[in-house]
Amino acid sequence: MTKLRSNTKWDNIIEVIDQNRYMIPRHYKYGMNVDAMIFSSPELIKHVLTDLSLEQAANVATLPGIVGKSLAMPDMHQGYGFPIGGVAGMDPETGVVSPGGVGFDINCGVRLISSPLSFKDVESNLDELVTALFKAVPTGAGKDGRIHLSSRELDAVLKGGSKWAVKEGYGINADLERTEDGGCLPHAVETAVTERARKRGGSQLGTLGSGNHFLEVDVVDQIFDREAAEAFGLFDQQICFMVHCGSRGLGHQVCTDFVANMQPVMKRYDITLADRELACCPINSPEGQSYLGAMAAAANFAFANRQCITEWIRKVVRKLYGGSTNLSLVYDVAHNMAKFENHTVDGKDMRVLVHRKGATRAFPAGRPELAEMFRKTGQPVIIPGDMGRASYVLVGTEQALKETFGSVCHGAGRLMSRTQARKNRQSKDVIAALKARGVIAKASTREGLTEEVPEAYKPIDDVVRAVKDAGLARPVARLKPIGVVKG
Amino acid sequence: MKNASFEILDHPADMGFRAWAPSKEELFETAATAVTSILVDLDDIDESTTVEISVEAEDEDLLLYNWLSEVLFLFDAEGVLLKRFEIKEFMTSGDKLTVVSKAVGQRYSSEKHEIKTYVKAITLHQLQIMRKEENFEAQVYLDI
Repeated sequence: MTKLRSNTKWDNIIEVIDQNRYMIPRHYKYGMNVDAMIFSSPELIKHVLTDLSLEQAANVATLPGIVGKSLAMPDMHQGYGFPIGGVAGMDPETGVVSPGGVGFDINCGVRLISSPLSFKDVESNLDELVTALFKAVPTGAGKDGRIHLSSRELDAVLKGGSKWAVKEGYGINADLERTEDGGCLPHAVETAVTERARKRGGSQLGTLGSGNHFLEVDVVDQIFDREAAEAFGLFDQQICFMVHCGSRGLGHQVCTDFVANMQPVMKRYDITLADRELACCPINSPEGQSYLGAMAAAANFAFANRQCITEWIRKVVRKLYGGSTNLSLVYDVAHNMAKFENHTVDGKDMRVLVHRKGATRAFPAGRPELAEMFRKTGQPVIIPGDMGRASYVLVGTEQALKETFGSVCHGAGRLMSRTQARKNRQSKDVIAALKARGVIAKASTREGLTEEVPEAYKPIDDVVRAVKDAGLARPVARLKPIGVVKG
Repeated sequence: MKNASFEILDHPADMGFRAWAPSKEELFETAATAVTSILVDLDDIDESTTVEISVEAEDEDLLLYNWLSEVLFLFDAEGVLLKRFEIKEFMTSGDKLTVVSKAVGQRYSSEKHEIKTYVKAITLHQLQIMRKEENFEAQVYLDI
């Protein structure tokens, strides 16, 4: 067995399986039901040895009914309860569902939209394009959108997700096939969404939000897999748009309310936890079922949200580049979700409730969940980096199915805290530094830019290399940002 | 005995604060002020609106979580920014604890208030009210 040499307590605990696999055996901590496996690299693992990240991966292994291993992806960093980059599969009969394992931003996700335009087509009026996008897509904290929904219409959004949006004219049918789950989780129970959640987020449909959420103009900078790139509709120097956001205040409040309501429920089921934020209850309990129904409804709200934003982008592009400039969705991935999927665990085929907290589903060819067009290629996996360097399109592998319930990282992962990032940094300097890299950035708050400065993130190239070396996904294309809109 | 106050804590991706006060009432008041101060500059908030806030929970730590979640909810759902809090009483009834309070602030205005950091949620991560000598203390992490 190879040991880690880091001069931290983990040297005596972690078993280094290979350069990309670091195992915390189940005997590390009382109550761990399974081992924890961290997918990383010799460089990236260093970043998580001195905070709570690894402890959190071990805590997840204590959850009742967890199967396989408690997993963490190479972009892992400390979260609250679950680590960010954490993946956990639960037995539907004996396992639990944890709202904290999904996160406060239910169905936060990323979509990539391709255009027929090349870099040379937008180079001369890039500033105008970014300004128009900034005006067209409401950004910032608590911002209300321009869609006003009656209570009955909100029910329809919670039930229908992107299907509702397309029916209302915010998109085309082809968008649905290129969205995870067709952009609509049919088991959504709109009545399980609390009144408070409806009140907080109901008016925020079609808005970006703030924090690390963004809208980017990207250019395809490198293609690694021509065949897959072609199948996904990507070409060299192509202009694409990337949207990162979630279920806004509605999803945050669903999670807030259920985390609180699960505390007495856990007492009833005799569940004790290493961290209260892991709050959970049996999947089969009425409370577990209620959460899953509300979560699916909030997830549909997030799908509809990204779908409406897509429509605002389409309008801008048609106005600036002509009415026949059609944008196509490449794919829309969710990275904060819990989903029932069929997997083989320890040689046994079973249904598993897979929690992905800052992790992306990366299904290879052949999975029945994928739309026909991706059955032979596997699904596009959209991995944003930071706003200065790059983002990636990957495709999932059989290896990921075997080891990670078909999951990979969700981004670069933070390296620097928000307070550290803000220190000694002015937003105008960040804008100037980005401009020097060829990126035009606009934000609704000063902090929106300083906290999200590229250096605050791990290099995305390193994270994707770790994913590739571990065999969890194959890189298809790399995109470079040239325009950024932040909350 | 130290005066009530708070400090911002570092977290790799999110943000937190540690609040302390000589009484539990002041601890709740200080923690709520800390949440608002992360959202906007306290100096920019007038005292033109008063709201009564009452929340309940099964234990003290959860009561603090629900209390702070309510302050955030009032901002994000109702558009009310609160800066000064007064806990009137803590009540116990059966297995429920209730906090009854009055809070003063004003309606959010996008022209006047610049949101520094949008808080998605209060988390229960490591949330615990502790007695430290003469003081009550709590640390709270927020999802950003």
